[in-house]
Amino acid sequence: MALFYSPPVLTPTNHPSIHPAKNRRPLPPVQSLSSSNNSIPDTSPSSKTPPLAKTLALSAAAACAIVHSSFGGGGGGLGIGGGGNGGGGGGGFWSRFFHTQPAMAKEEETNEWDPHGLPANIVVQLSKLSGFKKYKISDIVFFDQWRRTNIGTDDSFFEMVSLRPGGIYTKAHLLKELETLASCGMFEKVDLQGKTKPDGTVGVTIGFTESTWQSADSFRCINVGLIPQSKVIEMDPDMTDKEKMEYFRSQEKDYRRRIDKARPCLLPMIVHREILQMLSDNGKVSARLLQKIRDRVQKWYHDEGYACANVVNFGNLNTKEVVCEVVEGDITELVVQFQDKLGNVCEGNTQLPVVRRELPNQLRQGSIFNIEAGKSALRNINSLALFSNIEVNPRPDEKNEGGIIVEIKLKELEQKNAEVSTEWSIVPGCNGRPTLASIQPGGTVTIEHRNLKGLNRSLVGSITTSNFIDPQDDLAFKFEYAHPYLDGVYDPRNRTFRASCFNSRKLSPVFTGGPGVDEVPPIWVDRAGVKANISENFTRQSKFTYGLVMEKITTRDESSHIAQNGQRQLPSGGIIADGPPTTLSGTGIDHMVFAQANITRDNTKFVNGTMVGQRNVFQLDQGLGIGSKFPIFNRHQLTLTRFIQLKEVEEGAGKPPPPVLVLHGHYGGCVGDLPSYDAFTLGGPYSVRGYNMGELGACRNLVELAAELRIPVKNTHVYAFAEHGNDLGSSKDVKGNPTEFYRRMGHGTSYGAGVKLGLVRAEYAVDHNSGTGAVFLRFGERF
Amino acid sequence: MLFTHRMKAIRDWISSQSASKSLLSSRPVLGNGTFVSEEPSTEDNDGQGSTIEGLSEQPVSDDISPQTSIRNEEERLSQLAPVDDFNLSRNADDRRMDPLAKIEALQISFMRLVHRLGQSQENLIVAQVLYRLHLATLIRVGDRTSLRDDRAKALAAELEADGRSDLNFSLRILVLGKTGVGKSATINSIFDQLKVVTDAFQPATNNIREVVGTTKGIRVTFIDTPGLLPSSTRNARKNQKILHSVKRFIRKASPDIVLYVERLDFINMGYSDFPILKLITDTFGSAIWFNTVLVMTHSSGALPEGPNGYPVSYESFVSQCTNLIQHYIHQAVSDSKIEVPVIMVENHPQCKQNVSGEKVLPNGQAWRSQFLLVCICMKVLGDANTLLKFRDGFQMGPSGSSRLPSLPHLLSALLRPRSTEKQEDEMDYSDTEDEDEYDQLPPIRILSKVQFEKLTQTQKNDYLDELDYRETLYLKKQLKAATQKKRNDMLSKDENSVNDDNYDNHEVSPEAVQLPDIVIPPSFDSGWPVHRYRCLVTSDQWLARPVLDPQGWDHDVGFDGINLETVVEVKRNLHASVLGQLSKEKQDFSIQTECNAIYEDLKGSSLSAGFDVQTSGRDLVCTAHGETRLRNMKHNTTGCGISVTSFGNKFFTGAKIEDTITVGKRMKLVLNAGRMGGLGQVAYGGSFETTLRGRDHPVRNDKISLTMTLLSLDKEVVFGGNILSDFRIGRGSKMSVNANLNSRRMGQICIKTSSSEHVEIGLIAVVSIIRTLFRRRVIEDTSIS
Repeated sequence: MALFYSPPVLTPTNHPSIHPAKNRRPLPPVQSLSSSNNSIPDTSPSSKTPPLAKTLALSAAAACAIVHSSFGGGGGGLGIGGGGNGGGGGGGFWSRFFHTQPAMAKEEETNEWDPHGLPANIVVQLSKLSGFKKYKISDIVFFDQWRRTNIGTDDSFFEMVSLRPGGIYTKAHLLKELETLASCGMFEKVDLQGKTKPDGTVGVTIGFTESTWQSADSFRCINVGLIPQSKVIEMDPDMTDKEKMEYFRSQEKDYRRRIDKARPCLLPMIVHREILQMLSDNGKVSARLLQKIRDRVQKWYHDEGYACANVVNFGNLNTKEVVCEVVEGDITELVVQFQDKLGNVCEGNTQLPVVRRELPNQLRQGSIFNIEAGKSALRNINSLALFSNIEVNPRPDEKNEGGIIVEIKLKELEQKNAEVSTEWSIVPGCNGRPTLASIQPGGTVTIEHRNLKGLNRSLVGSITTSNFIDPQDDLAFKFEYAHPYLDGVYDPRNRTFRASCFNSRKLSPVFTGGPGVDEVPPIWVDRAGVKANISENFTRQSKFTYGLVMEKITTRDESSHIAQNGQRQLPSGGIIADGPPTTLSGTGIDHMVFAQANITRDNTKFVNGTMVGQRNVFQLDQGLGIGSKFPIFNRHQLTLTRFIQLKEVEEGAGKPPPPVLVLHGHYGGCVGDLPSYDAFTLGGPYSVRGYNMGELGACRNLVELAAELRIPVKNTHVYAFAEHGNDLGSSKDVKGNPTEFYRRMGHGTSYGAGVKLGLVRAEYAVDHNSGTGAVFLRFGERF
Repeated sequence: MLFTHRMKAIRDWISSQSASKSLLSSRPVLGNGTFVSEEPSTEDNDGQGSTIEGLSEQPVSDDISPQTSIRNEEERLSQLAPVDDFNLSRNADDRRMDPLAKIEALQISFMRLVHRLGQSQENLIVAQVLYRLHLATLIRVGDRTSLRDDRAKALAAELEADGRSDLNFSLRILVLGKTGVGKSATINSIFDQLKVVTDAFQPATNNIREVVGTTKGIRVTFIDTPGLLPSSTRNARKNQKILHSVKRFIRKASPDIVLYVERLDFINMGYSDFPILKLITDTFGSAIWFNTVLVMTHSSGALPEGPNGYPVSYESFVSQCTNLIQHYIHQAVSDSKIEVPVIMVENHPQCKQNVSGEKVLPNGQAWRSQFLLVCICMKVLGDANTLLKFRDGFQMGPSGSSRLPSLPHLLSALLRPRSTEKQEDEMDYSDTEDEDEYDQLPPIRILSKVQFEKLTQTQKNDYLDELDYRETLYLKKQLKAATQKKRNDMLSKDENSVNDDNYDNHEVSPEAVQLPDIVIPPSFDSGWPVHRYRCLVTSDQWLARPVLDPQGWDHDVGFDGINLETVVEVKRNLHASVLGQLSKEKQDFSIQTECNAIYEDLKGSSLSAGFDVQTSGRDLVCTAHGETRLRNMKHNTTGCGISVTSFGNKFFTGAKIEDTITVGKRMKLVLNAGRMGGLGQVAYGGSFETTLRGRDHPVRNDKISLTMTLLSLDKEVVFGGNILSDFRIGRGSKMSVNANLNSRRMGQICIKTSSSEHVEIGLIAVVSIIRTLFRRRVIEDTSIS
């Protein structure tokens, strides 16, 4: 069984038009081991036995066969064991299970079956059936000869039989079936009778007597993984009684030693007690009881994620103690290998420590294989974004009995990639002939170099312009360099250095109108610069980032001219630029160098699909007095969010999420020089819902408070919320008071309700200032 | 029907060009040649000569021309109108006569009122009202105008001479305005007595009340309202409360006329009460402005100084202020066609009076009778509108009707193949692939890096080529296996669908796995709000992704809108897919979706239906289309399709046929043709496409295709050609060339190269960077010097 993982990607799409289906990447759910390794070996020929289960079973069978052979002749052997010598006796109990399955494949359905040709409703012994006919079995009945009752189809015994009602079998099939049943150890006696049916089919009755042993009052579970199977000396049939006694005694001694040598199991006391209860309830230890115990033990293991654990044997029968031998699945080796595109094993580019540091301890050598650890390894490796295909594959170790080798197979992504797309337009030329509008092409250049030196360092860059040779204002560029494992790849500290150089052009929410003021000419904020920071990950979600930013800010009006002041529209339709200054320097261009830091403590997690936990974020920007007008400022923000689970729920796939109350507070403050483009704005999807971005004002200090109650409905939740944002009267301290200039309130409240559909939120929010509501569609969470 | 559709309202016609256009279109039905030929000139004058200035009798330069033209018109009309008897025509058509008779009664009482007010019937306003009434009846009833002006005039004069007071005419007037502008004072002035308490310094009216009185023999009911507060964000809620209570108050009996009162001397360029106008529009609906008269109080105030230092003239000041408010009303309604009449009012007790003791404005006009006259005119026209039901089907707001989808665009959308068809196509192809070559290859030893380094250059190349060749075959094998599996699944599902369903349900365990954090565009902020986009992978069939607007808000990620995708297998052969992108902000809403359902059988025939919705401005464009394809021969597939597009209330229908011929394994010819028509226009088009695929097509995706298209609309034909070629150059590089050119000599050439081996091509970016830096330097140097 393998865990496959093609990295699911959630990419934002670009703005215009619908994208064709080609961009779609499937998001396959990780296949889980638990669904494959069901406790009882599948006897039905049609079912798909997962590879691991099969291999495990087969290898174990090879070993157990020896134990079985010591058994001698089935029931007879047990009889001897009854004579105070249970030790080695019970050994081969599961032999049925470990025997290679006889291929009882159903005959091709197209093959005709032969009617039995006998009068209806007579009982036919198996030996009386014709060896040449193909009988169709119409029903199968288990008859407990000791209790004189038929048992139901839900009984565990039914799993032992490979015959299926409606199947077509020959006499040889039936004989072989009977033989396997007899040799499996479950039954003291078993026979098979046919009953003719009027329609020519045959009904089969399997009469049996269950094997029983003397009652036990203690239970012990041992891990026999990695212990070599005790060597069994072939019993000489010519042994004298004394020799026999000697032999059995030595067997018993061996077994004792074996039990002592075995390591204790992971099985907790609570299951232990449960099983003791089962033992005391039932009195005699019967095959059926053992089966139940096995089921219970295996269920616990599989529920806990120990997918390779299996009950291999019950020993020490006919004593006071039942010993359950479990192979838990000890990891003997962890192999990381790389594959090329064709699936051949090859040398990888990535350095192994990079992969190894992502593996959880539970997957290291010596611990017991757990599927959850496997999954988390899968996730962690996937988050490196270095591999196109990742397999975590537990494989039985041939050299070490009961051991598991965990194989991690990785297919690396292409390391380097470059893309150039160029474009020329053709327009009618001077003689009406089509000519190129410009000989210089426009387009996009993208370069990627990932996994530099095999240490996951990456350099990614792109440039887009309408003219490569002589780029104008429309040049958009982005270069990023990431350098993880700053303290060395073996150091557990996880610090990453990132440097990026890019530009962006965005609308300023400071220069927007309040309610009723529709037409405020927009101000574009062009930013270009370099940002370098170091971020340290404490956990997957909590991190500390600090760094330096150098940027140049240019404010432009609608027609891309540099704007020094905010604008407003006159009733005549004209535009007058007498608004608040857009930059600190007043020229429309600012240069600035400042330090910034961000500490996030985030221990949110998903409980049945809804987020629970808390998140605190503190952000800081500190001006260093370098740049236009030597800006010294301090801008800080603190965001506290609590997701309070209101009801305990059972966790698990398909279970409903708990109701959650979200409390959110956000404080922001500024000291010192504050250019308008860095003022805090109030209103917007992540500030006060129900208002447009910046509709409530732009200020130096702000407080936002929000509460949201999420009630689960089906697989998702509906929610009601109330939010308030306030500028604390600090709007007037922003240069030119843009809040007042564009007639904004400076504070506002909103409330509403919504429904979450996957990552999409659909909500109705009422803007309390005007009392009007609107429906919004958003992507992602508010908090 | 045509009339109700095209002719919106008389009032609309008065002031708007568009309505006069609709008059134009209604003329052929009137069926009179001379009328048709003469109309445009008057209509143009009328439209631009802002008749409202005429109403308030402002001396505007082109005031004369509409008057004269109307006279001409009336003369002509009276000549044209059949001079049959009044009664006779009334009997002619009972159903039509009924409103007509009412109009007639209206006309008579109007004339009597005019008489009582002491205005002559030659008064410009009166004449215009009569003319409009006339015209409206003409349009409504057809060419049998029974209403004769002179006859009505005579009747009215007769009745009035008798002194009969059976005139059943009352006015119900709602007064709105800011506090302190003199709403109550105006009411007092009209009745000439102190009906309502006023206060010059603080709001005197605190609740809504009705003031009833009679002036000049007309019963007038004023609904006095508390003043609205000066607009600021803080007052918006209070104002809204006031307006809502007014709305409740007038629900029982709606007013005939609404007065919006403003102080003339308070209006300046920095007019700040637009939010109030907007609020009124939002509360009462934009139709309220049909019945609104703008009242300017304090008309005798001191005039402001003009740029030359002297006070500006009264007329120009008034028109300037009026235009200003008019502009804001247009903005509030977002319709520049509406024109609101203006009345000047002066309530000051020491107002100048004329000889007859009436208060007059600085320009010598007696405003009280003017006020009443305008009110009466408004009401009469309003009544006529309701009688003739012109108001129905009239819509206000920005006219989006001028935007039409281009037919060629719709046509090419119809002709383009749908996305689901492509998939099927590929599957089809891979099926015909030959035997597994990959398995027959001899085993290869994968070299380690050190070993590889030791090879000579040619050996290295050979080795890599070999690997590449094997990869192609390997991929082919995998693809084939996948196809085979799919096919088997389809077949087996057919056999025991019930069992398999159970099995499938069991297998899909909704194991929730958290997705890695989304990558968001870089920003200079200290925090990335990645936590907002954390989610679990679910077995949800909907795939939702954000749409990134790189030019969104500053300090924001810029996710704007949602992209949704789903493909559902409804039944074995029936697939449905929905692909959409939608965004909903406070005001804006945009949607663009494609829903498609396709049924296909194993032989390659298919049937599909789809529904696309898209917003265009405020309108919704819906397209329903159906298509069927039939594989009638082994290498030939024929298909046809139809589509209906609705845009607003206009419909466009289209149809297409197409034929696909496959020649061998690698060549495909597609020929299609279609037409799209609507609103009297038809576009034809067709295309011929040849595609030649590479030898390893489904794996390597090499192909070259040549497309010729032809489009014709209105006898204008455009040819176009397109070449698209995808191919590999070397091992790790791909190239795609796309060039197109049309008969208008417009075109485009695109070349895309991507390479994982020759990353050097990225160096072209260095040129741009250097150029940019260099240019910056030059600019800075020049700016310094």
